[in-house]
Amino acid sequence: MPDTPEAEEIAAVLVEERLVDLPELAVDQPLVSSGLLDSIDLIRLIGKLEELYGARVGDNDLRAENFETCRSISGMLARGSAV
Amino acid sequence: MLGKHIPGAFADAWRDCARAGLLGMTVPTELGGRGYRHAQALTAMMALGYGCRDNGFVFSLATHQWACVVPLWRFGDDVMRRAYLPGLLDGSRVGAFAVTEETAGSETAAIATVAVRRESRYVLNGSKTYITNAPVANTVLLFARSASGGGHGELTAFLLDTASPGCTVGPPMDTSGLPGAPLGSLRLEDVAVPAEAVLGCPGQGQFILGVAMELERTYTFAAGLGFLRRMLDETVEYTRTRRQFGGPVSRFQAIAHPLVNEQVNAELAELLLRKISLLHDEGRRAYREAAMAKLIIGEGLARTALLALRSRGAHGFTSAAGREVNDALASTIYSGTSEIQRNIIGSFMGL
Repeated sequence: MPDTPEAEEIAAVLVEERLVDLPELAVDQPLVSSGLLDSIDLIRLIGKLEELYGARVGDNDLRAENFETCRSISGMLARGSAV
Repeated sequence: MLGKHIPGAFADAWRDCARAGLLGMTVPTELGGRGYRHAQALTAMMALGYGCRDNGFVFSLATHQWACVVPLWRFGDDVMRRAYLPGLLDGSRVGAFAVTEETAGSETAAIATVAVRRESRYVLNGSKTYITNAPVANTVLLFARSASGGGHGELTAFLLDTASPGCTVGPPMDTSGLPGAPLGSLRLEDVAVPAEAVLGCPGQGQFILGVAMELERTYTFAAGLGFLRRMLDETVEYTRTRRQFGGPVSRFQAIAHPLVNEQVNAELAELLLRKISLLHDEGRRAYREAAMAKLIIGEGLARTALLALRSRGAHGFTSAAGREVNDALASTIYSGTSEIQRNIIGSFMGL
């Protein structure tokens, strides 16, 4: 199982996968409240996290605040799945 | 058990399905379900769609199960589960799923029903339309926009009793198909609900909506695949017995090839559904695959129903085959139109 990604790595994934339409992304850039990630983007992101890191994003993790920044996403993954 | 205003035939069939454990198959047994894995539930839904000729009733049951019961089980806390699940599983409660509004169909983000927090309660105002089961449901999973800045308020899901003061259920809508699936509207005028009526937590609505759609697109459309296969099997049988020009019409390639195409399509659709149910049993998501399955099966239903009609000639026009076309066409529209499914799949492709 790959190590939990740091916030900077999450940011790189979002840019490389074109989940955000930006050349680069700060780890504290608001993602959900700013509308940078819409509901489909979030679903795609969850799929990518599953694929790249074996992450299991449980139903109780599905909260906007967990996806608000790259830092919060990394924190969610570090805590492990909350089903 | 169900309200007296509900047609006897619906209530009887509903009770039978409750006894057979068909109202919440994947819910754990300790909560009144069957504890089925998704793979088992998939098989059951396909069989239900194949075996039950009332396509609307099957749709009604599927909506109750996959868009109300399962989201409630997955996102509800113990208090909410204990309050609603027993009734939803024993046949005394019918569930509905209320997202759509007059000006918010494909554009779910345009939802205008508002939930304003007042101390320990929320006050709901707005209206919903094209809601399956609304005329017969007593339990609704309803989506409203929590009032917050910038009109970009977050979606929150509520579990609501239709008997709540201020909640008015509209008359059954006249539909061109699926007569066995009651369709209607809801109006909410200062409906006050406790904070505990929130399913999940405030702002979690968009995620719950996504989960419900993934489940519907998979398991409701598994029943749709059953319906498709029934039409196909019966049409094949008809063309084998109908004789024209000295033999069965099934021997003409113009008749046979289109039926073959739908058979191949159905086989592929089942493989995709099986992949999805495997992912679900691993606790993984399959939103993209569910959109693909829905697209394939919905469009397949429309084509197959037309084939079933036309392959029977005038007999098709004067028999149930003609009415099933209308039932089938609905599947290109509900749970997100085929066009919306293509948009979703396109997003995953980076388009």
